[in-house]
Amino acid sequence: MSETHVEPSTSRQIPPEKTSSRAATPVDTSIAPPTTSIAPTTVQAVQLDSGRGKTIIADTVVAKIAAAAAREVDGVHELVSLGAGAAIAGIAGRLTRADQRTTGVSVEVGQREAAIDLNVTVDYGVSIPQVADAVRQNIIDRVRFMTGLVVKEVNFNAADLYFSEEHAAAQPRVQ
Amino acid sequence: MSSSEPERKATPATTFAHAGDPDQRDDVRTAELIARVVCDVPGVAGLSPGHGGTAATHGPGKAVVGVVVHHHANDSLVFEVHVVVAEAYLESMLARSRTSAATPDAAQAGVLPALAEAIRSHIARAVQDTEIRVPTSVDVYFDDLR
Repeated sequence: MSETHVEPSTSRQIPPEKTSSRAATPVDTSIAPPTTSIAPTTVQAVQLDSGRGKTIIADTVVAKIAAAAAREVDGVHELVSLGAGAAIAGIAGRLTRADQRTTGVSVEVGQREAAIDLNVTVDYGVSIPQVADAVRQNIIDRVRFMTGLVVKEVNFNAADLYFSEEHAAAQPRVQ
Repeated sequence: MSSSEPERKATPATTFAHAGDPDQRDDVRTAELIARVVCDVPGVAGLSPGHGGTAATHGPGKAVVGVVVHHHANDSLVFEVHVVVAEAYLESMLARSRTSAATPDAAQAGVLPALAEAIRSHIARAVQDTEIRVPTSVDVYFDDLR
């Protein structure tokens, strides 16, 4: 019984650390999830330079870098937005010719760290865990190189599978 | 949009407090110079109006978008520049890093922080030759990638 008591208490200690490293300001993190889902458009990374001024990297910039890094990986077919709201936003964006390069990427940026969520359509026939790892590594390297931010986590969501022509044709059909 | 309205009104209100004051015209002239200098820095694709489109220095008859000159109460002078980064520049820096010829600056701090430093030194050099005060600090905002 004592062991089962230990586990919840340790697991309870982890979330506050995580949220505090993610949040730009040490605000009350108990209501973090709803705020962070709205925040990404306004929250920006702030990196203090030695007395010569601040360097602020907007979320859009980090998102575009991450999206480009993800697309490079073989097996990633496309980045897609999820949900009905996102679909409507996607159509509206396409009609207004909004920038599509941040589609499927959401970024939370703190002082020196970033967390990135991805929605990916994966090519059929690849190992999803391996593609996810490759994407993770590529994003971490790229964002670090471009912005100096440490990427704490990359959440990879394989939202759909893409069947190429040959695969689609090869599908056995039960009639 | 409506939330950014009061901000937009607040900025001219403070600057127009000294309308006719040569200081204010100087701010526009300063901002124009800074804008020109920043656009010439390799890696900068252009200036951005910032989130909400409020980043500008306003003067009679014109506004310099993307550059804000702040005179703070403690007599410090702060330039705020909103930059759109050239995507080609990032790609070239990446290609250079692959051939292991990356500048140590970029390898350590990241390409964008290094670019921010470059912008700061360009501004410092440009300001030297003029009667514009050396800024206390230059805040560089990377607003977009193009």
